[in-house]
Amino acid sequence: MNHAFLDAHATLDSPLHRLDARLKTVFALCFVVVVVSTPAQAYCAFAGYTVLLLSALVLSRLPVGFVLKRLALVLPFVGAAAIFIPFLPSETVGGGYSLGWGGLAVSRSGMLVFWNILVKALLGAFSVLLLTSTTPFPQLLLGMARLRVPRVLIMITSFAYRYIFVLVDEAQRMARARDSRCYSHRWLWQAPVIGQMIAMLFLRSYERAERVYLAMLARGFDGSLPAEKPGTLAARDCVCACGVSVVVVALRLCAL
Amino acid sequence: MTADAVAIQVTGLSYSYPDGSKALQEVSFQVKRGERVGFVGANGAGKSTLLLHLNGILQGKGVTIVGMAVTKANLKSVRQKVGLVFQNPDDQLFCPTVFEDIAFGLRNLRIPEDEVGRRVRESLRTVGLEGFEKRSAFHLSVGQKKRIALATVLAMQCDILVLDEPTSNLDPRGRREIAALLEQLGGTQVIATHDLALVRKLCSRVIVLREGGIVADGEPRTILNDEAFLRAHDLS
Repeated sequence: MNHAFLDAHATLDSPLHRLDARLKTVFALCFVVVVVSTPAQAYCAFAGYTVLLLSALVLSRLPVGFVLKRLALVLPFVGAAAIFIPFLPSETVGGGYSLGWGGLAVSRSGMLVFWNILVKALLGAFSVLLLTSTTPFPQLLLGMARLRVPRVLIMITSFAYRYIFVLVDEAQRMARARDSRCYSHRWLWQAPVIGQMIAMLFLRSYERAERVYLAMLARGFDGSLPAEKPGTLAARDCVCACGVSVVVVALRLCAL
Repeated sequence: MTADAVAIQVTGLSYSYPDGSKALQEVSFQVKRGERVGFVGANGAGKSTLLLHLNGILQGKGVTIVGMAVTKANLKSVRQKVGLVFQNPDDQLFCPTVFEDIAFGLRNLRIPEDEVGRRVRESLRTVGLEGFEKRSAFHLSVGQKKRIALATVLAMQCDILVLDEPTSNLDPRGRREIAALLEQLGGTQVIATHDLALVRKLCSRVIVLREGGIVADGEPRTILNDEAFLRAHDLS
């Protein structure tokens, strides 16, 4: 089983992989804010953002199929949120298109809202995806630490990353043990087993957390953590980040 | 014997779990500096509970480490002296990388970062896993994980190593490697295990626990060759 499903391609080598994790993190966050703040009708700006991310994708040498698949994961969430929006009453703005059956009509303003959600979600996810797939997780955490993100938050994130594999493994082992005793997923009376497994998984995780904590105590953990030293940024990285930022800001400004 | 030559002194130690069941009852023993002692006993005999007392995770009356009573006030010094290696390396290795895991204890001791790096490399070399710094502990084999877990306390340069089941879940080769490693490390070692072969090979002394009490304390040669005794205490 491949456990590296979170940052599978993070160890490739490319200009994007080599960029400082701090810069990438800050940039991805700012980029999301800028994209979200762009008015929905600023189609050129969105085209510009897309081109920017696509060129980053090319630079990063990530497999395109992998990125598309990951991006597709966003669609159900966006869809669930946005599916009804185009059918909102058309009186408010712009007028509508009649679909001719059952009085159902698509309104132009509704379409615009739908487009707004879709494009921003996709671009946001795309930029974060580029960040996480070009930065190994430990680097990402280190970057966060150097950005003075509270250590407790970083520890929680790092525990989540470390133990999600253990949890997945444990769940798989339980499922295997269950299936080997002729469990089929077909009958309703078998459904409680799923609930029991989830409860069991929770208990095991809880107990493991306690053992992990003991192991930390045993090595002198006293609840406080030494702060990470900031470390210097390479001039090359800064120049690169500044350049791309100028382009993004220009795109955003021309959409005003 | 001078006080200086005693690594661990346990006198009349008792412990009950919160539900009232007794895990340890009036346990007393002494471990000399440089001695390698094996603790054996059936499941639930109190081995792990006893080990947790040696590092101050559980604090009972009557435990002294190199002349220091194990109390809240000197926990830090006790944990600097006693390195505890847990049975399941997945409990002990909780960081994203091997380096972070080994550095964890050192950073808790506020050791400067360049020294941390040096000690991490050194302890990895000792356990034969040089160059594993950037690996993620989860992707390693059980044998490698066990050795990394050992490295996390070796880096802290503890005087006393306390190991809970160092050879459990290992294949014969893994067991042999751990045994060789422990032999080469030397120093004071306390090993709780079901692996009688390991005790025979490494330990100069064995203590047999049963239902929270000590039933035998002596040379492995005599105790572990007494088939009737072993059977009576669920060890064979």
